[in-house]
Amino acid sequence: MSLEITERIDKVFGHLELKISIRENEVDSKFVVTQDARLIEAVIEGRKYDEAPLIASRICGACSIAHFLASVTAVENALGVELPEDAIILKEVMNKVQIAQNNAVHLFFLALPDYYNAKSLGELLDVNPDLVRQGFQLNSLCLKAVDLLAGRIVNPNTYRVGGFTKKFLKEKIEHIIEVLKKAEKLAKDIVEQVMELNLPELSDPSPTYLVAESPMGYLSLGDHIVGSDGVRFHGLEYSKYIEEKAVSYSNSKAYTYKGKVFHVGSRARMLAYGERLIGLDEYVSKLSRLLNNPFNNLKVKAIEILYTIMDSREKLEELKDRELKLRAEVKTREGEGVGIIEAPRGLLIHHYKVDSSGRVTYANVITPTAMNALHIEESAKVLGRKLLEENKGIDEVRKQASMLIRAYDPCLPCAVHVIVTR
Amino acid sequence: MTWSLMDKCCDRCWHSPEYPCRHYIRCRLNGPLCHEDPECRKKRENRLREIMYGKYGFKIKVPMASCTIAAGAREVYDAVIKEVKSRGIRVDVRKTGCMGMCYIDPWIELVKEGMPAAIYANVKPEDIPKIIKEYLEGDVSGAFALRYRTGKAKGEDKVPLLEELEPWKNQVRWVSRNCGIVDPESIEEYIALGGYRGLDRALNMKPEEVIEEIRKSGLRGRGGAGFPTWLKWKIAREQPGDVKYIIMNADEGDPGAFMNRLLAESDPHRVLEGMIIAAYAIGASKGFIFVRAEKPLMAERLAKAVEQARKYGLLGENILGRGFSFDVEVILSAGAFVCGEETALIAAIEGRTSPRQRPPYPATRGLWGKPTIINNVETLAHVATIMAEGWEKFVKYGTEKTKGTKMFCVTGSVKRTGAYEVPVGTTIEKLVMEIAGGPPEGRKVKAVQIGGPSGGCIPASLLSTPIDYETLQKAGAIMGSGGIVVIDDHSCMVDVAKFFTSFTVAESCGKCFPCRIGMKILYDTLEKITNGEGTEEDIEILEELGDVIRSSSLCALGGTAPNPVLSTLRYFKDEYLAHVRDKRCPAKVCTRLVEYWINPEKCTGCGTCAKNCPANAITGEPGKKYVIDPSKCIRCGRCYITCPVGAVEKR
Amino acid sequence: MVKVYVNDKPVEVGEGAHLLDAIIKAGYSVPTLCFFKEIYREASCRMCIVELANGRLVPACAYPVSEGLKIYTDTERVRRNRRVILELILAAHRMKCQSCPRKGGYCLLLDLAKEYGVEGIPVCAECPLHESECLLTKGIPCLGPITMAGCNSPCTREGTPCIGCRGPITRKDVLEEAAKLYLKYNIDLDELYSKMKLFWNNHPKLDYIYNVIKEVIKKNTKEGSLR
Repeated sequence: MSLEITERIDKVFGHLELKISIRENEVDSKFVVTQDARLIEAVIEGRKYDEAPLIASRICGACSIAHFLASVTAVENALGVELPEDAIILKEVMNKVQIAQNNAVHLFFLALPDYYNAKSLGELLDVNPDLVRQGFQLNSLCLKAVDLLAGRIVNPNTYRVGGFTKKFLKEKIEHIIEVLKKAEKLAKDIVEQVMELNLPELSDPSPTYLVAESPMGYLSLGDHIVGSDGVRFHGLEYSKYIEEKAVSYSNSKAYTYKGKVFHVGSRARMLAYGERLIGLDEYVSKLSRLLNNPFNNLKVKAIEILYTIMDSREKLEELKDRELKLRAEVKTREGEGVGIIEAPRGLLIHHYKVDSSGRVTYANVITPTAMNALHIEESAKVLGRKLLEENKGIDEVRKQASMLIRAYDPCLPCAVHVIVTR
Repeated sequence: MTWSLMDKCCDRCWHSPEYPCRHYIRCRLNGPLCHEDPECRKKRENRLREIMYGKYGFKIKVPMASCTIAAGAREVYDAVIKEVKSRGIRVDVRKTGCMGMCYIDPWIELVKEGMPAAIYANVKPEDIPKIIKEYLEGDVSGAFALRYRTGKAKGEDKVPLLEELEPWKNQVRWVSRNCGIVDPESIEEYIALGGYRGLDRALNMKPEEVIEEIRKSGLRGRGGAGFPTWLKWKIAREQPGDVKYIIMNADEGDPGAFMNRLLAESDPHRVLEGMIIAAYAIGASKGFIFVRAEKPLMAERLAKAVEQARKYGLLGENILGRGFSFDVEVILSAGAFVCGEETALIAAIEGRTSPRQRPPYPATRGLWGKPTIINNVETLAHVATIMAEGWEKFVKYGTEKTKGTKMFCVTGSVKRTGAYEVPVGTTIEKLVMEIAGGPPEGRKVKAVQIGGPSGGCIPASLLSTPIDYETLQKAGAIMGSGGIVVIDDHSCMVDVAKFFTSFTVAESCGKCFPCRIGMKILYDTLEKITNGEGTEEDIEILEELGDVIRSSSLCALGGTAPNPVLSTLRYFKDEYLAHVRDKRCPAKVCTRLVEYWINPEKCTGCGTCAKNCPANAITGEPGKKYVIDPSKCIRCGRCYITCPVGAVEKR
Repeated sequence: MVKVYVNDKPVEVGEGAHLLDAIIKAGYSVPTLCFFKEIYREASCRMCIVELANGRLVPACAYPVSEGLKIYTDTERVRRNRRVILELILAAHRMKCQSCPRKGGYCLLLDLAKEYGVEGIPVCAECPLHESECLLTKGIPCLGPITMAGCNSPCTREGTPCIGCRGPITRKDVLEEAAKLYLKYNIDLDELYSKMKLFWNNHPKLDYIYNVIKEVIKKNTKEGSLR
């Protein structure tokens, strides 16, 4: 048979279409991002260095914190700012809590309905109201924690280039800990439920991955990138290893690592640092044999929620009784810097060049969803072929392809920008 | 001592304030009533003739009211006295009030028994000998007008009768009948001309019947609001309690309005009579006359009238033996325009400083918490006249909704400025163009401002509007107290609005936000516009702000203050637009928006303009034509004023 | 007892009551500024005005009830008048919200102004920092004095300067006051302009705002000085 399907994917952030074309038994897929170009880098170039993070945080409301942190780190690296230890730890906590919140939103409001035979959150409410209630509660607790740490749930105002702007009072830290305690209870229950889910089978067609290096533990901040083939390189060298190509049919670019299709995200993080999740070995070990299935990104996300909440609370307990040093000196100078961070959806890179007057002369942002584009296409192809061989029919292909894409948790506003040709 | 009509004719007469005679008033003219005596009757007749024609059958009347005095009447009076003394002429020189024909001030009137009463206009002290000499020789050819002809004087036919002339012939002198005729400081003359008959008649009726008479007449308050007088009285009458007050509002504050001043200075007893009648009708035992300190002659004459009334028992205990006691105190105001408003007036008497929210209205709770009626001077004059003449005569004039006559002061660009009384419903056109003579040669009427700073401008196209409370309100103005200012094509409507607004800004009492702050901003915006810095947004501000001030202010001052602005915006929007869009003043009044240009055909090359120009914008050489550089000109207008040949023109 | 209708809802109050009593009893509210029961009922501020069925606007605190009276507390006209009155009060108000001890949610006037959409109140009105802690005193270019209030100033609350994301104030008098502040604390004009261009880059009045500030600073700076 021969047909072309265009499936508009719902329950993802932004506008996305998946084009599947089937000829005989050959399946081809295209990841078509119809989201309009954002031109973020062009907006950042020409601004002062302290304004870049303010713009970057407004790239997307979902991962506002991640973009902000990556941007601010890139600027700090360009200016050679030496942050005190406490500031780095709190930055990490901010990132972790935001990951918990994003993962919760994705699981409950976007992905889980698929697995309860519901087309949307509204239908899920009929099928399993308790689950939905838990989801809302968890989301709101995580948002509260983010709000307390960052001053707002988007566009942080407690942190500017060089560190935090105000002291963190003991009472405030204790308040955050309280919130996290409540969230932890919920998270435990949710992990149990998600781990029980029956997800479709699929074998990763291109098991190569990239993660931001976590110098200590899971999700700590560093400035290197680590590949599945064991290669470790400094952020500034990314262009040597990661190739960028424009794609004719999509507003998103396509990336390869040393010529190979690769993936980023929760699954990649688990593959790289899963054994460091002390206290969660029970879940990790259950998953370890299943990490080759892209669908299991969802189960990893559930575990990450629990981990990030637990770990953040521990770190805050350590900090709360101390006098914290949260600011470093910032001097304007010419420089180049890269900010590497694990955003909720995967590796995020901000790369800036700053001149001696403090103006950003060059900006480049590489987002996780963009890096996943080709991998999604490959996985969809394999899935399609598999289902056709099993005579599951075109509707099943459509359904499972959508579910597959949702499992990656793509965020389209991030995925689009334009190459500025000089 | 000359016997006065007010005195006892003989020992059988026993009237005094302590033991009043019920028939006292009627007895003055028709008496004696309690006994038959041709002698006593003769006494009255002789006295009446003396009052009409003077002690020696010859009388010279010199009007002494604020306006005539300002025009030089005192000097004329002194000249008359000097002339009659030096020539030993036997004549009665008397003061009278003002007729309302301001454009002939100062004037004098000569009356001799057998001769026509002759009025001489625009008299100067040096004219006096000639006037008196000619009149005594029986020659009236130099007079301005005659009140009546006798057939015995030279030149009589050539001189018009007063009633044939405009402005007289279209007036109905109902309340102003005595003005310019009677001596305002003589209660005797007032009674001789029929005064206090109204009070006499009222005291013979029950108070409710008095109210009924006023109701039938349809009299509406002449102070501006036009509220039915009888209804206000009825409400006060029906309030419980013995203590009630009546206040005469003589605080005429509109600039350019002087009807009340005219009445009070020329015929004070009429208004006092009306006040006593009103007090009787509502049951008040004390009254106040609240008069502007800035009108001292008015205050003086009213005070004198009160004193005289008291002397003859028309004020005080048991007036005319009817068991009705009432007395009056004259209070001078401190000059605030807002005191024309009822609650502010009451506050001024009480010693407080600002108006009050109504309800409760003063008729229920007023001065010191007691029921209080506040009536305007003209209203009270009407009350006295209606009670004397009867309501049937009153309703002959006027419109469906408003009966009777009203006094109007017409000022501005007219040939005959003055105070005129016409039936309500007379068109503006008739009043302005016929009675007041229309604008002087070469000018055209552009608008008519009615109601003072609280009123609005009616454009020339609407001159056929009949003057009535409702019709004026619909056109965007108010009747007000009756001040009419005629504006010609040499005036800028934006400037006019600015002028009236500046007045209200200064007079705002400051209690409420909309008036205190809003009017100032209205003024500042108008100034911005006349300075050439206005935008179309500013016009929107004027409209919105004007509406807010009008609808949310605490008292009627704020409630009517934006009227000049709003009415000029309604009818003369194009002038405002010219100011903001083209930065041009069509009437060539706003100095910053007028372009000055030296007409080369008129310029004599004297260089005066250049010498006086503060911006060095005029260039030229002596003997050659001078030129103004518009880019340097700051539009101060000095060249226009100083050019000896008028070669600088505005455009 | 007297029955009146508040927004068409019938309510009964005592004989000597005023409209305000009926409004409260019916469960509605009107703003008041000068009213203080037993002490001041003079209806000076005119904020409590309500509309009668005949279109007349009367103050609720001082107008007595009468049988069958219909009053409307929130018509468009009433709201418009209240807004203009607030603008009048603020126009004559020496508003130095930067140093008012009542700012940040304790000023009834500013709360009402926000509720009725009055333009021209700067973020400084909500900023919790005291005059001595103001970020301008540290030379940091904060756009608070020229940005529209309404966000409750979360950025300065955390110690970071306002970046003007709610949009600029375009009223000349407010801009001139702000310019004097910027001059006093020696804020770099180019820095300020750079910050203004972050969110106001495409605002039609961006240059107007900058020029007003520049003019005031120029006028008040002595000749020959550095800026």
